[in-house]
Amino acid sequence: MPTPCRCARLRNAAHTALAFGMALFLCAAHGFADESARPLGFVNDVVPILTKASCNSGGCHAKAGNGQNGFRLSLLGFEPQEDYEHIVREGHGRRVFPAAPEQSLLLLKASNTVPHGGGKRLDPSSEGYKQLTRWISDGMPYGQETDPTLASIEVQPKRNVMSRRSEQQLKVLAHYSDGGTRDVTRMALYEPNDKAMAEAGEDGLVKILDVPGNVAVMVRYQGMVSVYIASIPLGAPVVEMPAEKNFIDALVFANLKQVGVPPSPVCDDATFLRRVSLDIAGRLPTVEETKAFLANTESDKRDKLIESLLTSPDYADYFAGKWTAILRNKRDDTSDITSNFAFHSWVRDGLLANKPYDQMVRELLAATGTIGDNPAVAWYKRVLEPQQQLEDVAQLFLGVRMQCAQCHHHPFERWSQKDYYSLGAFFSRVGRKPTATRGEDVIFHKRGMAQLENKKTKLPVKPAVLGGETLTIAPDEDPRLKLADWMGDKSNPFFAKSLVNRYWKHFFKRGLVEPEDDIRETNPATNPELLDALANHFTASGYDLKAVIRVIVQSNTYQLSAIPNAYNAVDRQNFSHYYPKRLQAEVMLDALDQLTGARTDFADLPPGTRAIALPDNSYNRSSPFLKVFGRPEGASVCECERVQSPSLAQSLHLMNAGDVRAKLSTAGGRADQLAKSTQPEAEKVRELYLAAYCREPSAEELKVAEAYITRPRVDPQGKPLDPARAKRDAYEDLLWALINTKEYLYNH
Amino acid sequence: MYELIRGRTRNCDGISRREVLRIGGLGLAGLSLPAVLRMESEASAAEPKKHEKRSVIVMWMQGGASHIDTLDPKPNAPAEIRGEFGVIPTVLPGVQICEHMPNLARNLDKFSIIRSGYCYNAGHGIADAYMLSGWRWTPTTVYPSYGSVVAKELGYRRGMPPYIQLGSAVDQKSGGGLAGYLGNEHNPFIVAEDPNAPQFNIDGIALPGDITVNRFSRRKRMLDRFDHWQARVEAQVSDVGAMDRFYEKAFGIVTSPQAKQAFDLSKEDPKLRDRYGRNIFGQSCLLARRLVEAGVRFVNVSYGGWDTHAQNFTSLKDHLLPKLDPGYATLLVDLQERGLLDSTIVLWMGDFGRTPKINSAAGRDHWAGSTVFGIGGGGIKTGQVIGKSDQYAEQPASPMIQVEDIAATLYHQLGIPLDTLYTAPDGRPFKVNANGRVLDELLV
Repeated sequence: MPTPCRCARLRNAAHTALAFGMALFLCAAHGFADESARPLGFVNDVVPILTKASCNSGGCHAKAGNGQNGFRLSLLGFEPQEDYEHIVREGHGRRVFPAAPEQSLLLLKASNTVPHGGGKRLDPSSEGYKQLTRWISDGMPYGQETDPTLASIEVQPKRNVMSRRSEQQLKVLAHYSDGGTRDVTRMALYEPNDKAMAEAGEDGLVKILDVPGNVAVMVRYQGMVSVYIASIPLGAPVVEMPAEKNFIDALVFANLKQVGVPPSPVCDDATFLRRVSLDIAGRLPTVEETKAFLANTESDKRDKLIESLLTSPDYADYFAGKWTAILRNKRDDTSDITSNFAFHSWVRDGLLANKPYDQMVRELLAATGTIGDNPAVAWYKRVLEPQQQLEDVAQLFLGVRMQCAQCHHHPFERWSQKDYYSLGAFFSRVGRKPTATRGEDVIFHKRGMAQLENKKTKLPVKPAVLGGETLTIAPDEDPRLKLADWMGDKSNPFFAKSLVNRYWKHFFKRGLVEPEDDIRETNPATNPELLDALANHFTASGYDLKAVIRVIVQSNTYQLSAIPNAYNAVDRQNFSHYYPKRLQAEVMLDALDQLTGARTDFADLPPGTRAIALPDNSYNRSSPFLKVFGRPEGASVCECERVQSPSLAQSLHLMNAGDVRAKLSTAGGRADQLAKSTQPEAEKVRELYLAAYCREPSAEELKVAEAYITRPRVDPQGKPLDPARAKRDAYEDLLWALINTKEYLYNH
Repeated sequence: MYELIRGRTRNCDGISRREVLRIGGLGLAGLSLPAVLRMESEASAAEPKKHEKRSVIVMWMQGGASHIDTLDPKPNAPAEIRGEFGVIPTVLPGVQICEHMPNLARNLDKFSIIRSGYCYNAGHGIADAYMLSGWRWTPTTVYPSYGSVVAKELGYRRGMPPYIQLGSAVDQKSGGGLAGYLGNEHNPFIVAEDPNAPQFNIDGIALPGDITVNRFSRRKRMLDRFDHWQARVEAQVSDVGAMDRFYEKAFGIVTSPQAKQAFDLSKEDPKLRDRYGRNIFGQSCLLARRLVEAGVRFVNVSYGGWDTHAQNFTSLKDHLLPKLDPGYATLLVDLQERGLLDSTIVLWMGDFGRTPKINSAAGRDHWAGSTVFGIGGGGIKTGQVIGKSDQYAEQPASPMIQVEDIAATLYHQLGIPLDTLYTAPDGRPFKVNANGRVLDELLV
């Protein structure tokens, strides 16, 4: 049973040519024609054709195991010698047949002349097909040791300004060790990092779509990568700019001017209050908070609000939930409860005390002891092997995905298997011994030489940080401390960037790099200067997590209205307006309780514990609400485990599920209280609007609501309801309508 | 261009309709409009209508039903393997099954038995994930279950949710029965309530007594008047539009009589209800039939309690088999009488097999080496026994059939191409099926 390739997008390459066997044929016009006399070699002339036709992709002949139909190639041709063996020596000489090259199985299959599971990959009229034919009739030379090797690739142009709905033909040059250069445009592979912005054809033709901003097209050829970046201005007049409150505004607004996308205005107080409370503290403001904030006339009231939210325990609860999910605080067994609660408290308390981020990471990485005396070791309970540990650490704290490099050179990256095992070697001396407590190990440093075996070469690899020299660490020293030293070192190019990008996404819905934990040269930030400036600010602050949040939410960029203007609705990545986000499962459940005056109780936790403060995933089982709205299970290091997409079950749930209905009609809850209150109905409607949206109702909304409440009601048999009952029903109905509006369900 | 290959892929001979539409939309490759239209009509003509009608009912025996004590008895084995039960003849000459399944014995012409099953895994949870998705479990990926794939590929029919799970006997800990990387919206709609209860009522679907359709509609009208915020942002937030569409569907389900009627078992003849069995499994089978009739494409009838480590024979004889046998058999008969069997695949399976050797607690433990499937309906060839296990039912004695093959066969019968490709949220591509074999021996 093949395990699917674990790396992102790799296998997609498999099928690019599938629907369009003609793609190669289309671009037969230029290229090899002038080289007809040049001797062909396997590495430089054959492998690229196989790669371009996706023969050696993970879903096809480079499939783990034995390759489709027993014909095995190395992934993306990274092992040309093995591939040569398989093509030339295996298969009883049927794969290549120099006496009659066109009878070679390699060509018959690739052209689908004999039935091929992968369909037609090479048209007989294509240059690639002709070149393979020539190579076979030449007797399949592997090439000489003196053959030039590929040194680098260059894409032309590298960067330019493109108008929307325009096209750019890229040209890709391969530079060889002998100084020679070849045009490999047709043999290179192309992939844009945002498919809503650009499409790239097989032949290197880039079509710019409608969305303004920056888009990168990654170009790959023979293990080398390069990037083309297009800046796509909208070109609208940018006249009025909000004030620049800090460096974020300076860089975002400069970019907006450059791309010609006018920003929306700064939002009003009510919107800001609701937005920032949800984003920092994971909760709606209370009616009292709202009234006080709206009535406050101090000029720095927004900054003061930010400070009070950052010092509130709600902030620590909310962000502890974010971190413990990706740190895999998962309940697999009932006995996990102790360590999960302890680990959650450790994260939460660290956030509340604003422990420096590098310190927190150091405590986690280098944890020793038992859960009782050092809850941070719980991470080692979840993440057992050095491979898993290095992969998690790289993705969590460096924004680097190393998974591919376990088995082969990362195709989009510079990381090799050596880099992979070098990073893993830091974890090679983690010792564990069972304790008297079920399911709990004591974690310690196991004296000895830090090294990890490279699964492929079977050779031991010594520790080295990403991009660093190999370290020799004395057997007495815990290598994890060295790794932790490097994590927080100012020269670490990944650590600060990864955190600020992750946090940027928390507040803006979209990272400066997307996905937020896949930062690499071939996936550039939409605003690289901003990413650098945020990282520098974070480092200079001494890795102060609250300082990152503060500088973000104080910026006018964060405080822009969500309502687009005449031009910027199309903007998805320049932050010209706030991008609304659906409330997360826990936040929504708490918000429902707060609005309706109900309470959700959770097992083993004090009454009144809010959903954002839940320590692990086990509550998703008892709360269908949390499950339906996509609370993560803590099974993965990827924030993408949290599901924010809408579903039928969600709509049915909010409209009509028992738990939501019970909240609406809770005895002593908001509907009940409002129905009994003797205040004027208009006042009560105002309070409801303040509670749900932090704003007053419009005149029209007030009219509709009042009319609804005061109209006479009948029971299912048609008899008039008693007035008290009728009024309570009316307020329940009104609450029902409010919780089902998008204005309520979204942070905006 | 990359998008073209996600979703369904075909080779040059068989571009799918969906792909044609996408190609057309992008105006690529120099295809003229008439050419696109021609390909489109060919593509749609090539999609057989029979798939549109097809539905699936999976009967999931959570815990793992003993293969020896159900459809793969070993009457000639020593007592410590054979167990306490005898065998009875069936409508198929020479084929015997457990004596406590008389109704199924009479109706073996309506399904086939696969006795060379092998299931690789012997852990609960992982079994739910593996057997219900056809993908071996890995810690990095939750694969979509069959129902989720069906929901995604075939979608809503007559306004009914495409994938419904009856009962809670599916272990979701490892993603069993869920949509996994396909996303929330393709998760099953789970009916946890007992359809055998007098007050059977579906949370979320049926309105409770104090909320009449009138009141609910009034609420919805008020919501429509208040819900104007998104009009100003809709253009930029695509999921707001999707949420609106789900609200419309949900409203239709809650207020239309159709969904309510589909769940209303009181519409059934009490005699028929008796034949199904007045218990949660029997009434779930009946409900599954009603749901399929109403338009649901995939129903998982989950039935727990099969993890018989102790008192295997008492549990089976007194509780499990007397409910399974009439429920399963009556469903097959009822579907046939209504002309629905030809379009409805009914698949019976559980976590894994159980140890051939009886343990000291008169129970049987987990057994990955051998298992049994029942499958019929929906164009599946019935009335046959496929494959065999060895003399003690320890492992297949003929080429093994795994759930990957069952999955391939299901998708084949539903018209879902096996090379359909999906992209997980983190960008990894996955095929819909893990290289299973379409079981020709099951095809008519």
